[in-house]
Amino acid sequence: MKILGQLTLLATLGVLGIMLAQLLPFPFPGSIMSMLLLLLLMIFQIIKLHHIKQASEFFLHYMGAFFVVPSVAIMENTGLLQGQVVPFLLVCMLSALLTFAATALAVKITISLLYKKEVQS
Amino acid sequence: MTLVFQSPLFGIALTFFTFEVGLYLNKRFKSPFLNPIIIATIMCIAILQVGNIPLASYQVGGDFLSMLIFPATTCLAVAVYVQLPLLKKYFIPILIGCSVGATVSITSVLLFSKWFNVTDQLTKSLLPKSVTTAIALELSSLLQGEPSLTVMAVILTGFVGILFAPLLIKIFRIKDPIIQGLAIGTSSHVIGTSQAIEMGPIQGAMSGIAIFVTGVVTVILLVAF
Repeated sequence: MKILGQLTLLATLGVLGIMLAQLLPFPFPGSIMSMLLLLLLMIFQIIKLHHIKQASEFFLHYMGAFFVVPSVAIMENTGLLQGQVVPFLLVCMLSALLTFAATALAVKITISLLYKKEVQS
Repeated sequence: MTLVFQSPLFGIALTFFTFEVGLYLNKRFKSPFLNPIIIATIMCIAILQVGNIPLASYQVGGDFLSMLIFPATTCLAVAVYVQLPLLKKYFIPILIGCSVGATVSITSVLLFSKWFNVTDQLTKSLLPKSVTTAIALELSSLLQGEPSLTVMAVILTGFVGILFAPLLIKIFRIKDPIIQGLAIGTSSHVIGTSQAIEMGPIQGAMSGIAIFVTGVVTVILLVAF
């Protein structure tokens, strides 16, 4: 499919995502909804990989550039970090380490429970 | 000159140019710490400061680019779709691992923030830090955090993953590549995944899947409470 068609498809999925998200009784991001919708449509082969290949490659590869904009806004928000830089760093670090350990442990236990029989037999 | 800076093209040109420089440096020196987003942010801020250009002028074009985060998020589905066979095969360990990881991430941020007396708005900006930036930004504005701080928290968390993942893998004697990949992806998203890919194809794929599943679980957890 040509690139304009792919972009149209993405924009339409976005609109549908927003509409579906609004049907929920709680606030839910439309972008996440459109992502789930696209995955479902791909699993059911309604949308095929080649329908969206070039556009998705572009967006996935250059996604970082779009995050620069909200990130630059930090120049007017430095006041929020006043006296909070060290706690901010500590929370990030400790929480990431704990998350890593907890995930590893949970997966390890699940795998050993699930595949125990296979190992024994 | 003010007229030039008021044009949306100014913000777009500046963002793409600085990001390209970031990508180039990242590739040239092969260091994950030369993060293109950080490099571009520093360059943009420096140029705005030196040129005495108000942030609002930059954002005229910048807002156009922020809008594209939406379709980029939609495209994350494609990244998962190509890993679907692996996701199906290890569905239960993946789901449990990512759910536990997301829960621990959120509760530990709440606990540590209280412990270190972090302000309310900062805590809200920190909550989505374990998920990929696109999803984290969406959550940050939903929770009324400050998106720019969330971007920083997300990138910092990724750096922690790169720095400490190899060490943690040794300490806990994690030999299974599936566990390695899931733990890296759940705790430090895309930046960690770049490291996981270097460790091996299974680690890389698992880490990529973990980004998606952790993202979705985190959205559900944060939206529900």
